[in-house]
Parts: sequence; C-alpha cells; structure tokens
Amino acid sequence: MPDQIQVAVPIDLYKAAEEIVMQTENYKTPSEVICHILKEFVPEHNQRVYSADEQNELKERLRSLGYLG
Amino acid sequence: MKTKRVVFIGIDGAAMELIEPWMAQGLLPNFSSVARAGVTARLRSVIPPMTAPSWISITTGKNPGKHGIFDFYRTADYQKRVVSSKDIRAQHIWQLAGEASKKVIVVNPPVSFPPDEVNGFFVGGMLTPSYESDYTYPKSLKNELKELGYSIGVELDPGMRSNYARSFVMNKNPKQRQKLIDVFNGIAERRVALIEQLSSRLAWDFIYVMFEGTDRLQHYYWDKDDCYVIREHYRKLDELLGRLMKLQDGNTVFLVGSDHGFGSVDYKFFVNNFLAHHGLLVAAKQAEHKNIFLKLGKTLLNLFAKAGFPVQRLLATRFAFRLYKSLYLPFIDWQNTKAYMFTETSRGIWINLKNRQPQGIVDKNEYRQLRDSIIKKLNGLTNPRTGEKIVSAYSREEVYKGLHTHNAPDILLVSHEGYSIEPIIRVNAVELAAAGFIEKTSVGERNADHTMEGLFMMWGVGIKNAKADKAVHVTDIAPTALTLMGLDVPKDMDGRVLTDFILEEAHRL
Repeated sequence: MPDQIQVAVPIDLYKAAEEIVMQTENYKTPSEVICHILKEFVPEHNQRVYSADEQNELKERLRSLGYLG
Repeated sequence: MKTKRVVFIGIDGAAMELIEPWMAQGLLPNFSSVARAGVTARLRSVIPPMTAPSWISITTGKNPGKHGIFDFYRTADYQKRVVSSKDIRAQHIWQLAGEASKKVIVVNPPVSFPPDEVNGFFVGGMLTPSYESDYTYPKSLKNELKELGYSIGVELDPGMRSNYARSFVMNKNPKQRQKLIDVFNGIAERRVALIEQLSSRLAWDFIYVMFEGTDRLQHYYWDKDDCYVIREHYRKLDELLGRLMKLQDGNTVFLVGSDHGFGSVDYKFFVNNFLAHHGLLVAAKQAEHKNIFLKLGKTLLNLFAKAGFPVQRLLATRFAFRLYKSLYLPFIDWQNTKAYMFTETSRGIWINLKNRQPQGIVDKNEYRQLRDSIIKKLNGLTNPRTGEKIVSAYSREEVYKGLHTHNAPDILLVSHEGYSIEPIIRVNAVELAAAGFIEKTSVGERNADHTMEGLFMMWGVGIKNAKADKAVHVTDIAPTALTLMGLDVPKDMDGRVLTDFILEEAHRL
C-alpha cells in the first residue's frame, strides 16, 4: 500500500490552507495544513504513548480500583 | 483591581450529602469556615458522570464532544486502549495560563501522562504507568518527589492495590481499617507538603491539586449508618484544606470542585442482559462456563474470608488479576450482536455498526431507528419491586457538541440513585429479566457510585458570600478561573464565568 493517497477538497478550503501556509512558518504546503488538522481530528493517529506492558499494567490497575470494564 | 491568583482544589466524588452533616457536627471546621465566608453550590457533572471526562471538562471548560475524552479507554474496535494526555483535544487552564506567562503548579490531574510542559511545575496523576516513567515537568522534579515519599495514588502502592482486597477487610478488622485510613491520609498529606514546597519556590499564579482518595473509599465504604473510614479521610482533607488556605496572600481566590457526586447503590443493572433479552446481543458460548467459575470463586473467597484467611493478600496478586481478566471479557458473539456495553467506565452502549466495528452487522440506515428504540426501552425500564426508574439514556448528540462526538459511545447512560450499571452478562437470564435486569448488591461489592451533582466552593478576595440555589456546571470552573486571573476566555469554551459569585469591582479585572 502506498504511503500517500490523493484526496479532493473544495477549492475554497484549499485556498484557506494556502493562506495558512503564507501566514505561518509551520507548514510548507497546503497538504501539511490539511494533514495537521486531520491528525487533530483523529486522535489515534499519534497514539503510541504506552508500551503493550504499560497498557496491560494500567488496565489491571483500573480493574483493581473496581472499574470492571 | 489587581488580577487574582487562583488555587483549584479537586476532591474526587466529594459528596455534599456527607460534608454538610459533618460540617453541622463541627467535624470539618475549615470546610465550615469556607462555607461561611464564600459560595457553596452543587456542581453538575457531565453526562455520564465519570471521572475521566468530567475532570477534563473541569480543566478545559469544554464538553467531552470537544475535548475528546469519554472513558479511560478507547474501544470502538472491540479492543481497549488506555487513553493518555495526547488524546485530550483541548487546552487545560494551566496551558492557557502558561501561554499568557502565568506561572502554574499542577499536581495530580488524571489522564496526565505524558506530562504537560508547563510554565512551572507539573506532577502527573492517574494513568501514569509507573514511578520509573517521566511523570513530572521538569523531569528532575521526580527525584525530589522520591525524597518526599510522594505517592501517585494508592493503586501504585504494593499491598494496597486492590479495592476488592480492601473491601474484604471492611468493618471487620479495626487494625486493618486504621491502616487503610493512614495510607490514604498519608498520600493526601504528602501531596499538600509538595504544594507547600513548590509554592515557596515559584511566584505562582495558578495552583491545581486533586485528591482522589474520597472516590476510592466511597465506592466501597459507604454506609448510611457508619461512614467511619470515609469520615476520617474527610477530616484529614479538612486539616489539609486549612494548610492550603495559608496560601492566601490577600489576592487569592480558592475554588473547590468535584467531578461528580456520590450515592449509595442497592441494585446492579445488567445492561448487556437487557440487550440480550431484546434480541440485540448474543453472549459467546464460553460466557456460561466463565460465569459459573466466577460465582464459584466468589463463594469460596467469601468462605475463606469468614474463616479468617487473608483473602486480601491473595486478591492483590498479579495472578488473581490475570485470572479475573481471563474470566471477564469478552463474552460477546460479535457476529450476532447489534448493541453492547463494553466498558463499565464509559456508561455507554455501542451499536455494532457495519464498516465501523470489525464485525459490525448493523446497516447505516438502520442505525438511528435502532438507537432510538433502545433509548426508549431503557428510559421506560423500572424496578418491578418499587416502580423506580433505573436509568436515563441519551443519544451522544443529545449530550455532546463538538468535533469529537463521533468517538463517543452511541448511547450514554446515567443510573438513577441507588443503581449501578454492570457490563457483565449473567447466565440466569430468565430470572434476571423477571427481576427487571437488576440484582441486589452483596457484601464486598461496591455499595456506592457516582451521581450527577458534586460539590463546588469558592471563596477569597472579591468573592461573595452566598449559598447558590442553582447548581453550577463543571465546565464553568475553567472560564471562571481564567477570568479571575485576568485572562481572556476562549470563545469555544462551553462553561460560563460565574459572575454571580464575583463582587462587581473584582469582576471588572
């Protein structure tokens, strides 16, 4: 599977992203702006905070507090 | 008028029902003096009134649809992933204050790992993986905490890890009971000692500190006639409140808030049995065997406990956790299930939707009708013995507004006082259906649970003296704290500034 894929966005949104690129130094292209917004919208995208062991430990700990789920 | 410094003191699940009578009896002199000098109100939680979403709403001023935290877990794909601070999609008071160059001290917020890099000090709380992890900012602060004997929470203390274990010593052994109180009080005491140390080193503008022991104790030690264990912890908190009040410099406002209230539980409501009864959920075959094992295990433990065997030690072992986990979930035959509750901590029901869940079977065009019919059935459910309503059910769009609402469970439940909600599937389905899907709680189980209204207090320079008739909302705390510090309130915050409680001259900061 390729790393990237093309998607269509309305022109006015693309132009708004272009403006953000011009106004800030954080992004080089409108695609970067759109990717940043999507990452904000999809929290799972940047989630690898806990290791598998830590995940298990935290789940056990929550259970130990009486949270049965 | 100068802008204020703000101290926020969080007390997890602080219950007005307990505090008011103890204040009247003179057991909580500092809470009483605060009530006499400032504002006391009921604090309305988010729906459902759960720890993670509610605390995040307190410190962001936003509903869960905007901040994105609905549970300790994310579960949409039948897997449970513990959430972290990276999942929070809104800024906390301390981040906004820090951006405005205010100095902050933040100690023990839940869902706080990895820690925020604040303009001051930050000590992580619940969901910190271990003492070895970098749970402070700056990192070097961790070494000081070690010297202080700081505890992140009782669940990380060896020998005190299991609430089940603790519940077995409940009211039976005075020595054990006192030891338990000492542990909880010690944790709270060291937290205040840390605040005292840090506040003496930093010209702070905002302090956040949260005490979670109340919630842990209230779940298992709530007793209408004798709340000794809980009372002794509140008395300690009262003493610590007195110490924190010494931070007053003639220009400080204190806010006390709880994420939810508390009330006794007489019945457990088995939501997945309710769904199964209506043909919406099918239990996996192994559920039956597992339930028999669970029942047998519980009976044996009760017998051992009665015979004086130290059951609490056995229950605190890793082996016991693993065994329990393997017996508990999953019990669901996904390919034949249309709706289910997966975690108790979400108080939420998911529709098993095609193209969303891995084995979803509900078509998109069937979704709304199915969800509405489940909500209607749940809202009509009553206790056959008393006629009381058991739960209130809501669609997620009814209670949340925001970009992240789509990550919430499809239906959200609030149990009525006297009831808890259980995701476990019981095998005695016919009997349970006849009983309205509810069962009396038994000894050793949680005998209290969260309710919608907790405690709010506010006092200090420029604050009125009043007892509010109307409840305030958890999302009101962040905009109020920001205003007191002379900062702008972001337009997308859901809460309102509690101007009614602020004297006019102070309000015009």
